[in-house]
Amino acid sequence: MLSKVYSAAIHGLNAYVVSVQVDESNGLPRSMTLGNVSASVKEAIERVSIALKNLGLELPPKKITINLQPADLRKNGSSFDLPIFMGTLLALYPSCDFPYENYGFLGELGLDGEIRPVSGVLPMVLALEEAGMEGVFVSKDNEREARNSEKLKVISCSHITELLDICKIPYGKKEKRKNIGAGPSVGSNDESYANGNEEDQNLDFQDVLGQSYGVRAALIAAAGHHALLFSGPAGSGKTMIAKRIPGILPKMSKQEKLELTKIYSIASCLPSEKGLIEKRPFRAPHSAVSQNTLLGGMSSGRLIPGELALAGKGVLFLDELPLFKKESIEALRGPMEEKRVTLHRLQQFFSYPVDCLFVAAMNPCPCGYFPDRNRCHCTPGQIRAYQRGISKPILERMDLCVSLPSITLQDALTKEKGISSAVLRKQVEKARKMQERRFFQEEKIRWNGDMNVRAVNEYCELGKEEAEYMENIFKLKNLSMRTYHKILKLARTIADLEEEEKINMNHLAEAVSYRGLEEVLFSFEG
Amino acid sequence: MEKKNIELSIRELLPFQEDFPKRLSEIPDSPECLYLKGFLPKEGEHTVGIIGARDGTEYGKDIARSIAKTLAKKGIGIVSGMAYGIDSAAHEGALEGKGKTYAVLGCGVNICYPSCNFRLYENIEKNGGILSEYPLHSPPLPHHFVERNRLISGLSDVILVVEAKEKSGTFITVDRALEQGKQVFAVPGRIVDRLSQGCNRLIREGASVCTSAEDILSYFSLEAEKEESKEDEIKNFPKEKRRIYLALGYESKHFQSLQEELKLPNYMLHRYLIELEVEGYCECVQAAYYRRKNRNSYFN
Repeated sequence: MLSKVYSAAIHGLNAYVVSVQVDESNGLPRSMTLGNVSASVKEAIERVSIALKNLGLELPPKKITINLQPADLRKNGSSFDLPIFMGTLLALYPSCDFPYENYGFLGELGLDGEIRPVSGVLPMVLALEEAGMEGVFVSKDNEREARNSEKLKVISCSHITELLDICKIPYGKKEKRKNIGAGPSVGSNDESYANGNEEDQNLDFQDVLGQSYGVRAALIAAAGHHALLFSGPAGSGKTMIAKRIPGILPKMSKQEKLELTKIYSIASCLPSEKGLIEKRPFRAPHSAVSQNTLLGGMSSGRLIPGELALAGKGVLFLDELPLFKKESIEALRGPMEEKRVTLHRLQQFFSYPVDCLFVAAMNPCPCGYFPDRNRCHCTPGQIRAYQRGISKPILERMDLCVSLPSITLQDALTKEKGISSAVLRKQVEKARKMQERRFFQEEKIRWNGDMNVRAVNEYCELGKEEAEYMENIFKLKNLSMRTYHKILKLARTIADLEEEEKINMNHLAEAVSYRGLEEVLFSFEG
Repeated sequence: MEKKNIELSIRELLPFQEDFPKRLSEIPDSPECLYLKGFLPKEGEHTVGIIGARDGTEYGKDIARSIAKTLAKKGIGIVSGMAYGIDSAAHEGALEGKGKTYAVLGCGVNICYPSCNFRLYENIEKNGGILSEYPLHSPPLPHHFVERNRLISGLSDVILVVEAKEKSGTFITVDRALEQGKQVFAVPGRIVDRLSQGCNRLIREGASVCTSAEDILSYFSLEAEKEESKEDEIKNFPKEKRRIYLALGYESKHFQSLQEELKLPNYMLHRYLIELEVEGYCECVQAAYYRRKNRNSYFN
């Protein structure tokens, strides 16, 4: 008898619906799984047969053929255990009561019949929803995540006996059921699941003492989505400021949260007690990170999202920038410019958008005190070797280059509290509103930091007086055209923060002061 | 072919030759052979050796640069070692003052060491001379620098130490200079500054104090040109701008410390700092670090 149930599989950062067909026919007893499946999917039938045996239901000695459609895409992972189990059951007991023809099944089986969580549930659930399914069966641990779907009915089970009960299939060893809990739960998809602990923001800009300059730079970076580079001695608060930036970005919309959670789900980074990522992420990969870890790589036929994707909508912080491997940093050049990563792995193309805020930090020299020569003992050669770690193209993509002063204990003790994150976030929200209005008909540009040359010319128009002022500065500082555009972009954001439609000289003057690091860093070149 | 060309511009001087510098044949331990690119100071030309730490402060380099410039304008040749820091600043100052400057190297004259001074190297060759007692292609070995120091003092009539640590190679040059009977000047500094401790020690031990280029000029019985004072221009600044200018020091200050000191609004500080920079009263050393800049000379 032939049966058919639905499941889903991950492809890149998206999912597609898979129909699992199980046929049981006469012939030599054997089982076979078809449809471009990996070893982990082939194992599924073994787990299913042993789980059945342990419940007192034997798999009859027949020829069992399992086909996963579409057959051309590679399928991987253990999430097909549950649909294969269900399909086999229906093939063996065609007369049983099964009202869930339009339901998807996602889960891994243990030999004792336990249903275990799998990764990538959210994208798969959304794919099922899109395909017009009615509901989905998942393990208890995946329940919260699956409930993000608005239309699907989510049924979670922790043991296959619950499924057997639902289908009214009698089985032998009832006494084996232990610690199963409340049985299957069917819940409404309300918000209460998703809204975990709302105000868990322990990191506040209030705690940053005596770094008003750095905080101001962080505010501008957050408001206009500009890449930011901090340079300063150890202990001056570079990491402290960077960690607080996600907290001043506007709250994420439901759509954004879903997009982000999908990526975390595929990367198996979603904590099971959380159904949805609520806070903007802060990712700080170690300086030994490889190119694949940054951009995303392949592992057993599956795309593993890189740090770039995991930091989406939040902050990607590269601490000690000069210590990163050159090829890892250079690999970021394209994504920073294109706002998109395209990977070509195992004859397949994967592409995902890059929408994180780049924040990097570095010491100016190995000891960190340069240019204070009474404290810095580094030789020019050492300083040069250290700063060679950063390439000019990367530096040029950093809109804000900010050097932080060192903070003495006395400064920290006597200074008043800084501005709180809530106040800063309000300012960021205001500035971002201005930008939304400005770029509403643009396709690729969302924030000031995304502007290309055409957009800069269009949106950062200067008055006559301002243009003359810029010309003077341009001559004095010997600026490149790229730097000139960077300054205009920054000035636009500074004006947005004050809700001014026109860029004035004050904005330009401030914007000019946030560059200059590149000139120093490369002054040793001769 | 190219190698030959390089060597053509280099002259080899032996002690019995007429153009072998007298100053160097008179010193104890006189070199057996000299390699020269460019030319050497004439007999009777005043020369001052300006030496100091490689990791000199911005202030120290500024002093070296401005004194060298003033002296070079008066036709005094500036001798130094083309190392990082004070040495390079002294050469640069002399070139700015359109004067002559001479570099004594611790490697072959065809090697530019440190290599990032290649522009300076080319300019010194045109406006003075590059000198070494080591054959062409000799690598810059540590003991070479110790030995070449006696040539720096030998070529100079006066040695000026701008910045030196408590333990410094500069003292080798000073010792050689004293052996050769040259006058030693030192620029005094604050007693707490690491890079001024060497200079202060020299003064304690009897070196002459140099607080301006005039001190050295008067040693040669020369008079300094009167430079225009900037006082008047500064007086005409708007009040805030003057306050900012006066708050700027010769060591770079961070924007934030200026802001805390002056309690001016951010935008005003940004505006005036850029204005001062455009007008040449201050410079941005590194992003957000500002310092006062002299347009003409340090001491007015």
